[in-house]
Amino acid sequence: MKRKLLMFFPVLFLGLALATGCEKRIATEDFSEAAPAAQAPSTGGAEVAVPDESIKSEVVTAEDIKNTADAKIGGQYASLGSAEDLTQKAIEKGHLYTIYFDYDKYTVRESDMDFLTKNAKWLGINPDIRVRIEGHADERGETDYNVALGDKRARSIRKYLEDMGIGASRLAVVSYGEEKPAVNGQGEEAWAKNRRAEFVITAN
Amino acid sequence: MAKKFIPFLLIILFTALSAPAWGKVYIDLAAPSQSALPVAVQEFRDLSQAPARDKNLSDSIKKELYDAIVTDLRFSGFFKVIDAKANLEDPLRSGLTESETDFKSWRAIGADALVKGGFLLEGDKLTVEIRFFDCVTEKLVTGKKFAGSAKNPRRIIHFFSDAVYGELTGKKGVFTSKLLFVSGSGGNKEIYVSDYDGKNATKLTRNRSINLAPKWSPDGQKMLYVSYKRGTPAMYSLDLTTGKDESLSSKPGINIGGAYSPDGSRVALTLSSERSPELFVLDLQSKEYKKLTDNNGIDVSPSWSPDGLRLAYVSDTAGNPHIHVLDLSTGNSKRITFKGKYNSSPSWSPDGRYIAFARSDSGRFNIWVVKPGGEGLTQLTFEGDNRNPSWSPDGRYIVYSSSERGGSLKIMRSDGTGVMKLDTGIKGEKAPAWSPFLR
Repeated sequence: MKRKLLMFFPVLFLGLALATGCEKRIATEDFSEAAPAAQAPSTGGAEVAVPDESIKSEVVTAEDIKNTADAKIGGQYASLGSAEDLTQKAIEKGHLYTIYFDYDKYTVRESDMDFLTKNAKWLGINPDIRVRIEGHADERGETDYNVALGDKRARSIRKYLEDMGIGASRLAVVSYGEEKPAVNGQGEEAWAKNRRAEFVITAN
Repeated sequence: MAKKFIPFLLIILFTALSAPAWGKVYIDLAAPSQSALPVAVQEFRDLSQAPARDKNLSDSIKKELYDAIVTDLRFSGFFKVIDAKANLEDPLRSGLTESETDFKSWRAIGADALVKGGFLLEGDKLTVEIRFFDCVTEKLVTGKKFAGSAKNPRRIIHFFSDAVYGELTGKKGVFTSKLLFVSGSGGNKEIYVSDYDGKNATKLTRNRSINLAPKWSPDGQKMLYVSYKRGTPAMYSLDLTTGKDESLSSKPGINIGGAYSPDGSRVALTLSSERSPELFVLDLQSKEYKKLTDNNGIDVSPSWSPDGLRLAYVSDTAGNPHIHVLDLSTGNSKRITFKGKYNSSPSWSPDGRYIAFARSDSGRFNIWVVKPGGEGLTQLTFEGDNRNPSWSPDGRYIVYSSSERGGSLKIMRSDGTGVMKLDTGIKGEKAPAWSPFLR
């Protein structure tokens, strides 16, 4: 019983004993098993204070929220709430085509030139229409590189259109890299559909 | 038979202090698992006064403390932790001192070392005491007491681990360092911060747009990132001490892939405001941009050498993406990779001797390292799809993203061994960035 009791001596005292290299035990109270309350953590050394976590998250302003909402429907370029409808109609009627690219390439391929020419013609006879050309990449590459690749694709489309006589002021560009795939999934079939430049009408 | 603990620690100490070269440190410090010392960890003991004790809170703190110390011990590479189920000594019937410890029972389960601890909860204040024993000599090796917020018991353990690691190796520990990473899909990606082991993950951006490519400032107080929150990809800096956000670069076109210079005075980034995505350096004081590359290709993902004199980056000027190194004083670039269809995301090691990067031949990437001159090319990962390497501040580890489970984070030692999966509780984690030392 005595041995057992000794095992439950307050750590505080034992800590002190340790610190002084002294094995003498001072029993002044009833240290029963039911009374571990007298124990307190101690090494006899100083207690080190751990500062509270201080990392703060982004403070989102009302302006940010509005900007983000605007960005989703065309951002600063949007003058019409129905831009998406207009774009949808133009696509259905065969006025605007999405242009597709080969892997890691940003030149328009021969087979897509016809579609790009059709887009140019329609924009030519509708001088009030403004578009945003959105460049995209498939998911295989790296994030940064894909944003740059989407940018190159959108810009190469804009260059063709400019060369065909469409004013640059009507042609905004944005790259989404791999962030907004047209279709989810892996494999060449999905990737081929995601390497693209889309046309979105922002004003008419 | 059983190795003596104290001599073992001395060996670690000696090799750490006498190893000036990076290669040597990584051989000696990142001890392979077969030479790791078996350590037992006893369940932490709640030393709070009985009436104040909340059983659920007490149990959850117990679990967090235990899990954190086991994670840190394993991560250090010095120890292999014996499954707690094997422990014979009853934590409620033993104390925290040598005389209250039945070392025979610990040696019986194969433990050369033993960790015991107790905690005291007083309101929000959590005091934790941890003791480290040598089971062979039956002596206390080190004991420490830390007090912090009860909201984050793991943090207290990580501070303890840093202190002990410092004592044993003479070097700074990375246990209190942090990770930034990206998660999300479908036009909404946010940036998170977590402990080095992936725990305590917290959302940092809250703008519900696409947020990408987080990078730390050298003092660990700011985060550089790309956001579409105003429509086009622009560069922002979030002050992590206040939550205040600053727009750093929002030129027409793309503003991406930013990285703070080692002295924090400049940011290297890619802009496409002219004809093609080119590398620039933005002076944060004068707000002036200096153009670094000029070609019709893609130049992205700059990573500074620790001395601030060179940049490793990705360029497709050779026909496909390769790693190049640009000397800022001369403006000359040198291509340093020649194989692989796609080489990306270079990350310069803290000691300047290596550049880690991701390489793919087939669409699946693996992590490699190469010296800045192009020699010493070594493949570190071999399975799955691994990208975006980022070095720990002490250069002993690399965190990277794996495509497993739709995206997850892993840490390995800088020689490719000791892979540890991180469980952040967040799905689809990508683009990790390891912080500098935060204290």
